[in-house]
Amino acid sequence: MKRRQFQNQLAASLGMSALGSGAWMQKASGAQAAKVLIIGGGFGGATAAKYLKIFSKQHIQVTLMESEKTFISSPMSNLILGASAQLKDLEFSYSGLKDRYGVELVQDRAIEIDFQKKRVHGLTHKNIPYDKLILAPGMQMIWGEVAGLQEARDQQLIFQAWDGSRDILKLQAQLASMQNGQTFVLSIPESPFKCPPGPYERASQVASFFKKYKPQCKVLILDANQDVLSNGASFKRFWSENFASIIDYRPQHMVTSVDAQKRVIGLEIQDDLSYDVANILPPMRAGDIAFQTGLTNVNNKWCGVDFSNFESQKAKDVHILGDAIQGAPLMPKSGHMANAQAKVLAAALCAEFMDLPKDPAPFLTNTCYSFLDDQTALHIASVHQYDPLEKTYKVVPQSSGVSLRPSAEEARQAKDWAQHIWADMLS
Amino acid sequence: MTLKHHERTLLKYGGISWCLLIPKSRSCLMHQRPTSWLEPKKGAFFVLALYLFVLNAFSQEAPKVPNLYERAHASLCLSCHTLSSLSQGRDKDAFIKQLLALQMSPKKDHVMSQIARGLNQDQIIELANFFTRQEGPDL
Repeated sequence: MKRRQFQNQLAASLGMSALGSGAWMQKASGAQAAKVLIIGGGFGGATAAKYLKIFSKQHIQVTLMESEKTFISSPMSNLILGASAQLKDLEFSYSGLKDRYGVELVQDRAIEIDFQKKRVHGLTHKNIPYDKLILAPGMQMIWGEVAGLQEARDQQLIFQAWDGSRDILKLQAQLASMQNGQTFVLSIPESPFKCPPGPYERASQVASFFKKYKPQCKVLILDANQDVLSNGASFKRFWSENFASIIDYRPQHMVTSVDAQKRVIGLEIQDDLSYDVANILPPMRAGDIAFQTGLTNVNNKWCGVDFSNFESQKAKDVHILGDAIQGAPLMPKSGHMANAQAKVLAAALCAEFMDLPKDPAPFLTNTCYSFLDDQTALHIASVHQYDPLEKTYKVVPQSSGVSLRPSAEEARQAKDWAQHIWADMLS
Repeated sequence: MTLKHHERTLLKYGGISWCLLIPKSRSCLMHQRPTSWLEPKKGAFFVLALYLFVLNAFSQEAPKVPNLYERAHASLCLSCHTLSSLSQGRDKDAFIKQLLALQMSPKKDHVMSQIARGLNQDQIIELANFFTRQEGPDL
């Protein structure tokens, strides 16, 4: 090939590419300028940040606003109470999102949203602009539903340790300071709440700790629900086989008040009970920023969304993920579910910015593992398929399932799952 | 200083183009005049080539619809540690066979079987395509 011939061919091929790219750039101009602001760096928010960058090939500008400096995982945190894990095993930096994917990190607490001007105000950062806003604020305890609980918390007498915080260490310290023969009370609110199997796992872990170190101590479970909400048969069988002298499970026991000075719990129907250490979980609702900005349109607790793209039913260009939403039937409020929702949303937003058609068949997967002691675990798993006619997600019938028996193999899988999902959202 | 993605791309490809193309201008090398390459017709060609080269760089990463949703669906497997592990060292047919075997597994309480049973035929083929690509299952 002659030099001039080569030059002509090169010019022609580059010209064709440029024409193609020009057409694409015209279509993608929205994406290149698009700003997505994410409030909340949990399983939903952090995953959305990472996958928006991946799916858009870096064309979307993503900012993650999170009040905490590090991420602490709620899943697996009950193992700290069972003395088989430490906080450092569950705490991770957000720096990978910035360094590897170019996500801008803003450490601040969002306090106000101007939906008209598309601006968010934090405690210290004002006027943060967005084209699309993703809210992943998690859940918030409704303190007023249990009289005296807010005061007990303010006085550092009762800790919930339910939101991936260092409070888990304070609860652990309370358990460690108990005298042999004393009683730990765990109260469970009516469903829905964050992590349905979580309280039963927590009771198991505390019982496991007592069995090893304080065998005369008791775990009293006061459950406002009719029965154990997740893996009920397996939990109760394991308790009767291994913790019969420790765990006392009482369904339909709704806690309505607590006197943390006298260490007395009031119940809706039954007589008052005394305790030595209490872990009272009150009813829950969507996180504060969603509640305060009027997005909790379902029972004034949860955020209704369009499941095709998780857009709020109350505010345009605001998308909500994870624990804060009113879930579809049988859709749990879990870390894995928030992670899966975030990927569906990230793809939906990329498609919208590129003016591409919606995904006709998005689906979600979920797995929740629960440890019963330090050696054995069980799971619940499901696949949720979007139904465009009914505009909701439905569990694929044959997919939903639980463990028949807890096992060491499932404990290994649970640890493997945790490592995968932490890496998937943050690394 | 933090550069945006397109600024980094411009610098990268612009730098490469400068190194490759400019020294080939004979008058530039012979007369030590850095702007002499602009004088002949060839200079205009190099400017055009550089412009098109940089423009082309922007176009290389355009997401496509099937590709976007295939990646989105496959990404669900990365957090559940189940399906992604099947792909290691397998071809497409073997991957599909293993998924079908999981669906038919008599172990009804096995987590991988439960997830696999939630997938329809189209989703299985989509995942098989993604996880057994020659270039690897890169998102």
